[in-house]
Amino acid sequence: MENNPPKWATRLLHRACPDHLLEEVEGDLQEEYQYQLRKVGKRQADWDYAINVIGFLSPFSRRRKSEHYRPSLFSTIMLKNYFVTAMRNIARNRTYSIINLVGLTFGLVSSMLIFQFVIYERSADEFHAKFDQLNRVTFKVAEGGGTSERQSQLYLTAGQAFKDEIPAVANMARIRADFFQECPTLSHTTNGERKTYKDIRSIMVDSTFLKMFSFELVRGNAATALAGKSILITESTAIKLFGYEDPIGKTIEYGMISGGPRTERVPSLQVTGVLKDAPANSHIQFDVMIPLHIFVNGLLERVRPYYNSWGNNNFTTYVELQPGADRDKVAEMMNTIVERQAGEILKRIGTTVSVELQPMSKVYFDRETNLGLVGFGSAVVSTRTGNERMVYFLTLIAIITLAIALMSYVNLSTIRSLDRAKEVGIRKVIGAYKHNLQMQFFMESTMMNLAGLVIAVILVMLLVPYFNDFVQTNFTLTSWFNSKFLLLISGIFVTGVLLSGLYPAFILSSFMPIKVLKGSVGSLGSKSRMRKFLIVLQYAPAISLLVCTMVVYTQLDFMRNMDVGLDMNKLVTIRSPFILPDSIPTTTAEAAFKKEVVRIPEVEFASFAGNQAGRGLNFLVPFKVDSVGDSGVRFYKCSGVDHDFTSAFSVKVVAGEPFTDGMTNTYGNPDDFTRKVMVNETAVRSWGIKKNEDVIGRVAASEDGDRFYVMAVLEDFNWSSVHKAIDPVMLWYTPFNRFMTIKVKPGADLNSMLSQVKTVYEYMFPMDVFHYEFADDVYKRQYGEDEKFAKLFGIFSGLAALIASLGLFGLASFSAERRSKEVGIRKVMGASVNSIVGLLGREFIMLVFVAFVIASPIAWFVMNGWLQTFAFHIPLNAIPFIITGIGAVLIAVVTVSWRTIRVARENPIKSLRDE
Amino acid sequence: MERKYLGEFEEIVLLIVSALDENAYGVTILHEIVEQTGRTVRLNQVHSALQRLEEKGMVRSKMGGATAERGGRRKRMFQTTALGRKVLTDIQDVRQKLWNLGRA
Repeated sequence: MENNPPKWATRLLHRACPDHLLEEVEGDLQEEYQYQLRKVGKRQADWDYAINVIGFLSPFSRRRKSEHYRPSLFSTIMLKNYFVTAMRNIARNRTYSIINLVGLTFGLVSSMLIFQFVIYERSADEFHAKFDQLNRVTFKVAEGGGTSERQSQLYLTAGQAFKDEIPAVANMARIRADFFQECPTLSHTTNGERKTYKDIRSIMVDSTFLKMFSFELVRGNAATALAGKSILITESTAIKLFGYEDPIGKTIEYGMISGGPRTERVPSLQVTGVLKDAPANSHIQFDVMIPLHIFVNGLLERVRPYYNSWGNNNFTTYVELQPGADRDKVAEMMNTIVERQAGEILKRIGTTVSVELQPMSKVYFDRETNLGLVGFGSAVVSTRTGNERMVYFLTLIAIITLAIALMSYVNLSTIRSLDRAKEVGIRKVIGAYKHNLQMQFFMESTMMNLAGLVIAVILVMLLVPYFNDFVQTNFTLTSWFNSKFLLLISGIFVTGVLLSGLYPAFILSSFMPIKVLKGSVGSLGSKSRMRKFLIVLQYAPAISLLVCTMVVYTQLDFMRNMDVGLDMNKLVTIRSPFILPDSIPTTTAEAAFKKEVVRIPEVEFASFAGNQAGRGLNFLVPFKVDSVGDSGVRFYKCSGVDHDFTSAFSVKVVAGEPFTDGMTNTYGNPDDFTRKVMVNETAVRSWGIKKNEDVIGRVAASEDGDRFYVMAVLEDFNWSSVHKAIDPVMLWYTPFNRFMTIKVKPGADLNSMLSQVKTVYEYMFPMDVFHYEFADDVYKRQYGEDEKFAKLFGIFSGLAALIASLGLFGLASFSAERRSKEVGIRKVMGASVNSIVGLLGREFIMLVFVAFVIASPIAWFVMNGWLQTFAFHIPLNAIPFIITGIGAVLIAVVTVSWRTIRVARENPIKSLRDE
Repeated sequence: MERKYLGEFEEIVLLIVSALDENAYGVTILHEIVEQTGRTVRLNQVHSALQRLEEKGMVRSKMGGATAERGGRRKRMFQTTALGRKVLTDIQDVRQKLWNLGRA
């Protein structure tokens, strides 16, 4: 073997050179080697040979085309053949095709709906052209070195100072929403007919507002619309107010309670512009918009200095920074300004304040920042906050549902692939290459996914109106032409095609034809571990979701039926009149109204309060009790109520005496005690006093120096929301107020009472409009979002479970049919139908049980975290787990036995006869 | 005149295939090139030139006899086609014309 070329080089050539070229190339190389061997000797010949081999390695060498006919991967003939085979296969196995299709479609529908919503929520406020430059100024307040709270409301003067003194602040705009969470009263007269509205959300803004924010003006001039006595309205408000008449130039009387002469209190404003309705994912929401200066000029002389001082913070302030400005530096400069202007006052009341700049991208999902309870809670109506947790959970559900659908598809095609093994064998024998088969299987999965996608798109189109209704968005088909959404959907589609085609394409196409045709591949045993794993993997998340749904619903039910300490059954709340004849002061009108209302026989009580249950209290007052000097400053939720409050709402007085009719609201010398108050038990506890009685007659001194005389202690009641723990509450005596709550006598007719109250109202206040709400409706409105969450969660979890069950059904019926011979033999040997069903179903039911065992701790963990976000929540016990577990196994039993029983009942002759 | 492009090296290979008549395959072509032109050429270059020529339809090939020094492997024997021959004469004609131009 002296004269042979180096073996490693030959091996290299064998590996790298295409088969059909090898013979001639190797021959030539060998011949050349022999020639060189004679000519230049072995060493040089070896070297030469190696160089030559390297020369033939691709990419140095061109490949000679194979002599065999090799159709292109995309040749139309083969594509047509794949298409035809795929159609035949789909048609022949109708059950499996439908199961696959339904699973894919449902997965796509839920993910499309959810992702549409998620993208919409995530792109909140991005429609503003200056999105990147806009910032909300927030205010971090820490009182007495204690807890700090972030607020969105600033001093009126602060915004202007920032703009004047900081060059990086290009623009600033302040917003004030209307008072007391109550919308203003708007009225206008057309053709002598007067129309009045109370349910309109209004914001008062600086003239720079439209320059900074991209709310589209469809009529009017953005530069001048907010000058003078003007009002801008949205398109839907325009239709509501004026129908299809041209709103521009129309006069609207805008009722503000800022006191003063009537022309100021109810200024006449000209409509100067019509705005497009604010997108639902804008955190600023409004129906009308008026210039802020109208409010400031309308202020009473008495209060104006208060607003201009650095003491009253009621204004949400936004700044537009110069491009590239350093947010932190700007915030630092703002802090310096606040310190200079308000430092002294703040030090006196033991409060530290720091200004922060919140980029627009952070505002929408911000639920931490107090929207202005200090500022009378006014900003709440005109600010929308997204629910980040809901977005997060829904994203998770969408991914899980899709994953279940795909796994179910893979699993079914895996098991069905055993049927296809023979086809693969034949195709290979006839001359199919591996890549032809891969192409064929991918073609099939593409067709299935495409069909699923088309049906899903149609379904989504049909479902979108309902979905919009549900999540209060306004998606249309055009929302789909959103690059993010389209990208995501195509991503999902491609992933779907790849994942669902992967197994058949790569495993099936690699079957050896001889083995397959001999029948040695195709037993159920192979790959069954993978299949079991996939069953568990698709069932476990579905079970987790079902457990979570149960917990969510139980919690919701718990909140709805929780005893909040208030009896809101048959309580009606009426707004006090706003627009009064000139001479009458508000309190007189309210007093007269109440006098008339209590004369209606159906009315048991009528009580005035500063706000409605479920909407929070009006004031947040920092104060401490004289006896507990070292407890630091605490904020108490406060409001004014009258003497009928406790009876109307059935609030229990646990100590002291409640307010009485006609009592003075001050105690002793007015300079000593500003107000008589009732407090709740939480307030008493917060002072460190154990016995309720001990607090009666004590004095609470607010940080402003106001002194409150405690008359009574009330049992804790939840005025605002069960999401939050009960706050310390202080109610002071105010005989007349903005909201009148009427309790109907037991057994009396509510409607008759309402119509009588309406008559009285309209007779007494012809300029205004009667507006009523049921107290429990208002209170339950705060659960609206939780209900929405629960329903969405329920629907999509149900879908996920359905897809998983469909997959299980497919698998079980397939394996039952595969084993029909075995069943036949067993029956011949004397097995009963029951034992056979048990035998066939046991495996699947065990797997579902395993899935349940895996799912439970995950669901427990997630729900435990979720429940912690509620101040009042149900204990997380075993009940939802047990119910879901039994349910899942039952569903599995039903799905599995459906087909299994049929197979088991069949006459064994049928299955054993054919061979 | 429409003519397929022929590289300089391809032209040499084509000429040699034509000259070698019945005995044109990888190694003989290689040796002939080395001998006649004095260039250093590698086998893979010859092979790829031959493949290109075959794609262009200027040569055709078939598998021929095996010899012991090739380890019993067959050769791919090449022959010029009519097109190949025509291309060669065309080139020759053009060259000739151009030469004559200079002298006239």
